[in-house]
Amino acid sequence: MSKILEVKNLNIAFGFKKPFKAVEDVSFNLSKGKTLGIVGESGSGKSVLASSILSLLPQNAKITGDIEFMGKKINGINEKELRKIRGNQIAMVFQDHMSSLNPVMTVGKQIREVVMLHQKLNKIDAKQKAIKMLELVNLPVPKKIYSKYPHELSGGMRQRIMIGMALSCEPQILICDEPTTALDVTIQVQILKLIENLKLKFKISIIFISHDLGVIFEMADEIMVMYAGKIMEFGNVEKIFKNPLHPYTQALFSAILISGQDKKKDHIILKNTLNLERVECGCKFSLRCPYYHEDCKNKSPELKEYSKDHFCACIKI
Amino acid sequence: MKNKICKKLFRRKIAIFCFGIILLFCFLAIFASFIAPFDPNEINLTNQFASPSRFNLLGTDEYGRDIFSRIIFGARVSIFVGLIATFISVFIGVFLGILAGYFGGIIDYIISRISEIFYAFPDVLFAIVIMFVLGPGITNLLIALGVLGWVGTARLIRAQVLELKQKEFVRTFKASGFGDFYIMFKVILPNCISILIVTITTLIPSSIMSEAALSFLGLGVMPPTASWGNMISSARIYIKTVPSYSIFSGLSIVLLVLAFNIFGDALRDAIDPNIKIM
Repeated sequence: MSKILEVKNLNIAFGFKKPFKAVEDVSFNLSKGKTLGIVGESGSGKSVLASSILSLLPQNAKITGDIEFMGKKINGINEKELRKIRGNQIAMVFQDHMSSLNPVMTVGKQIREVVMLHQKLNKIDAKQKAIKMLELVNLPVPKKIYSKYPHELSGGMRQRIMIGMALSCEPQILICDEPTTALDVTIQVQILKLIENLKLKFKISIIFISHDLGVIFEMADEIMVMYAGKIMEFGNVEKIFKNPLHPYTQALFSAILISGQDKKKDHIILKNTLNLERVECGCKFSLRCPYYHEDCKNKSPELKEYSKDHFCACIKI
Repeated sequence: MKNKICKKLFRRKIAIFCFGIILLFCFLAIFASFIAPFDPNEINLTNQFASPSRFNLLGTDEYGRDIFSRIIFGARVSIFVGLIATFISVFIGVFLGILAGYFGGIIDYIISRISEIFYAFPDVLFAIVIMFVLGPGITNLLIALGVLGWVGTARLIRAQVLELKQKEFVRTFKASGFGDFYIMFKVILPNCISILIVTITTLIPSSIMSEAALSFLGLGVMPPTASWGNMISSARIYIKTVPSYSIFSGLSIVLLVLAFNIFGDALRDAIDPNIKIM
């Protein structure tokens, strides 16, 4: 299977005097046509990681490591080259559907502009293409929607338009940064189904970020569990769901509510809250880990292969 | 959307009234040479200080020139200066404001410091200095007012851009591969339009006022060209004997400036979605 995106030893830090490490030593591969799910609580570095792929981070971010798209390094290259990749090869859908679209431009025109930018089509053809995209994302009466402003549409519709806009230039990779978090559950299901269908139709690879394990299980082929900027567990989705190894993954699973679940089942309750400042060395999760051991404080666990397609960073394994 | 704004705007009777006054003055200014019953510079020394009559609607001045005709031609100067000076300041202000807000860093630092230097001087004093250096005349007046007026616009736009560039849709457009200039002028600028319209509607009357003030001081439009400012300037000597002379020229400034201000207010209320008027 061909690797389409390869991230090697990625480190991202903010600030100069006392750099804050948002992402630490992250490496992963994305294969063609596969979906990689990234889970983790707020502040675990998921969104920073996603933004770094398209170099969308603010100027004060320091990035080291390699991000390779189809064998070519894409971090640190000049803006002009980047702009050819953004939207054209790698597209992104953001979380906040309320403000992700330009409020003073009709939604159709926004898609048309993207098409015109990358595909060198004239206005009329680009408009046709935009209407086709609106149709593809299952919006009713696409011709009417085309000339609507974002505030005239519902949240689900806007998120569909975002997806349509992202896919309008047929990118190879779609990065979804919590695309369904701001929507209610029924709409969420529709959007997920839509992404799934379009993935098959366009044969794209997806990086899907969420903090909802249920959503990730539905969508992903592989998952990556992040905590405080580090990969805790990585591997095939089924394997991790059947047998979560890392205490943090276990804690995340025990937090899912399943109807009819036995209430007596042990829940892992985490100590403290996520505090990135306090952990200098050793396992990032050690302060909250229910299986805390003296060694955890001193030794930084490496990502070890537990079984095929299943890696975990915990000294207990 | 545009229809909604118009509806909201014209629901206010006073807004229609003010808009009417502005249109009336514009009409007078454009067709001045057809409407004015006399040549504004025609001297008729046998008819000095005539009182308003059917013949001379608003009377005549110290040279026997028809005041009504001079006010009409003065409107031409005032509106021309008001519009062009505003256009110049808005153009400079928007450009520098967007650059400063969008790029930040050293560019922002330089532009902000320059605007602070401009802010530190009293406006009229600064204008007087510029006019003194450049010499009187309409072109120089436009330069002076344009150079002074951009500061406020630039600051407003900068503040707005600072807020807007954090918005998710700017990131969306960036992630779609658009360049900085596209984002600045096609994404961010249209979102500043409401603030820009308000600035324009306050800048126009203030430019008209400045023009009048400078002409009054003899630094703006030079006589014999009629301008409301220099008309008041020459009328002030006769204010006790022929009050109608000063009153009519002063009244036109007040009327036009007031109309612009009230209309600008109504326009802002109509555009700003956060303000709801019944």
